[in-house]
Amino acid sequence: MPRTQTAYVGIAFAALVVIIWILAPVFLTPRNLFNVSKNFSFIALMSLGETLVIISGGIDLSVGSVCALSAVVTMMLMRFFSATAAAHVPGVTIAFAALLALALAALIGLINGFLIARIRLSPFVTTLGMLSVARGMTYVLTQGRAQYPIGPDVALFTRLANGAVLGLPTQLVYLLLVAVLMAMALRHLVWGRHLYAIGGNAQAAALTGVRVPRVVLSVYLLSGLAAGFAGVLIAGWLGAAPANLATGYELRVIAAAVIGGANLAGGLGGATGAVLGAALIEVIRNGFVLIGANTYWEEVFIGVIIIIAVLIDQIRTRRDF
Amino acid sequence: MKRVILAALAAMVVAAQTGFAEKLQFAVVPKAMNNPFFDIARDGCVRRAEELGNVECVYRGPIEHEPATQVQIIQDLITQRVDGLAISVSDVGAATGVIKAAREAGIHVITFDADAPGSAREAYIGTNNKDLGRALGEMLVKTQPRVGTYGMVSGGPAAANLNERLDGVREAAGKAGWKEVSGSPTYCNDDPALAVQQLNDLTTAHPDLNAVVAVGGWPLFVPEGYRNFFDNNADRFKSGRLVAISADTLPSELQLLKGGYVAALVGQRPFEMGEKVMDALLALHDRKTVQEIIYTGVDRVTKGNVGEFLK
Repeated sequence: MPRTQTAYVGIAFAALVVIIWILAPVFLTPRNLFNVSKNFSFIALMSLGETLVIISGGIDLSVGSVCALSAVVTMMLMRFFSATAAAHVPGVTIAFAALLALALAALIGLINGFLIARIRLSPFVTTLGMLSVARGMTYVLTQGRAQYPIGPDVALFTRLANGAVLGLPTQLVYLLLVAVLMAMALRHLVWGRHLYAIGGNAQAAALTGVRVPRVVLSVYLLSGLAAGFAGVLIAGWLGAAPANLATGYELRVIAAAVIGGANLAGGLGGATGAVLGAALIEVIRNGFVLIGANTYWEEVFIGVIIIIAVLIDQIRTRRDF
Repeated sequence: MKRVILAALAAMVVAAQTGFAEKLQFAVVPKAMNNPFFDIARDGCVRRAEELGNVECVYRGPIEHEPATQVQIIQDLITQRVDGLAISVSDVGAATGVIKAAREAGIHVITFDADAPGSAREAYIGTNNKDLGRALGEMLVKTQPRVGTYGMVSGGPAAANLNERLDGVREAAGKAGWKEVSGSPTYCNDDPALAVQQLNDLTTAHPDLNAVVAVGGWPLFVPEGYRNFFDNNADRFKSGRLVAISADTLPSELQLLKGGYVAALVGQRPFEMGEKVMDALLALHDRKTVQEIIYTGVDRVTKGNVGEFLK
């Protein structure tokens, strides 16, 4: 019997790949794998941030809206900087636009974190409110209109956000870099050990000298940042940032984290799981189309997988009551 | 867990793969698969495919309206190598790239209902929205003899097709001396419940309003909610001081028209769109020329002819 949730998800993932491949051989063509790995990168990036929050025992419902806000802000700032002196230096308009959009996303995460860690508001309600605030800001800024990239750096933006490195889509490369960084930080930094300790028992952690509010604040900031980064990438990939972009993504993101072994009670979860969970969901979505299965069943199927995932987690870690 | 997944997948595949044959696969991609408008387009497409015999209508899109998901599904349909694509475009910018990719893969692409002008699509089949708006304005003038003020409900400020309808209403109503009130149009984000609330808001804000016009059928998609609005303003409606006009002619709307809750409906013809989509894709496949813009007509329905549409 495999020991970790991630191992179970890995096995399920492999089984699913084989089944889909048998039913739709076109699944394993390089072109499709390229598309699939692009598609799941956005959700997986957000899932990495979400997993940190879930390890701390919290939840972040604002990620889909923050992703959309960051996407439209990137586009709007690109247009703004194109009319300034920044337009004369290649790469500057997109660099400024993306960095400011990321800063905004991190700021929203920071506000979430402050309200939750310092003021002690409930994570669910705080981030539910922020879901609405960020989506509302997206509509206010855009007046509902889709935003398009404009200026000297459009081609560069497309290359960076939607290009290929060594045959891999750039989105996947960013994802893997972030995932490796996160895995290392969780394993080797004091911060990582403290995070698991807080999720296991915040009071006990505080008694042993862990600065709980500071760590909790950091995970919401990182979750906002991850969602913002996904927004920048998704805008570059689509070549557009519609105001209703990423609507409902928070549920997919949380599902990916949970399938990957993050436990909503806190204290459990990791980078590999989040990436695998997101990949599993995307492969199901893609597989449904390729096989020609009835789309309306897709959500039922994903829901069943989520429940099976928590069931296995429960059986695996069952203790005597 | 493996066995569970295997069993579930196998069951679904068996359930789904009934019509497996050497037919041409034409994919019809709606904005959302939970929208009743597209259900009718699907019916038209399936019916026409049966009549043609050698084609199959593959109806597949995002369940809920979200532009990135639609692009991903179109990519998958390209991977699957369908023989033609008809897309109701969620976002023009987002779809332009994937339409190009489809054409490069040798797949014919047309748009229906919502166009992507400037993309590589070969034809557009849909409603002339300016005409639909004019028809709404003309029905308003016809059903409300007291020339006065009107307010409108629209779906969202970014929807070009809805903005054309608004302009059409303004043109036809303005010609007859009607004035649009301040705060009109309201935008309901395609949310029927919100649309009903906004109708209430409009009539509350303007107690002397003579007409409300919904340029999409949202408020009537929730009949109970709409009847509630009607009851709130029953005296105004019954004395003829206020009339309601709406776009679309779905069954729930026709029932409301029959019951006298709304004065007139102007409908698009999604069934005809579905049929023409199949015809156009087949013609393109057979290397025949297809007109670039094909307009499907509009139906004008009042209490007098509602019976024909309720059949």
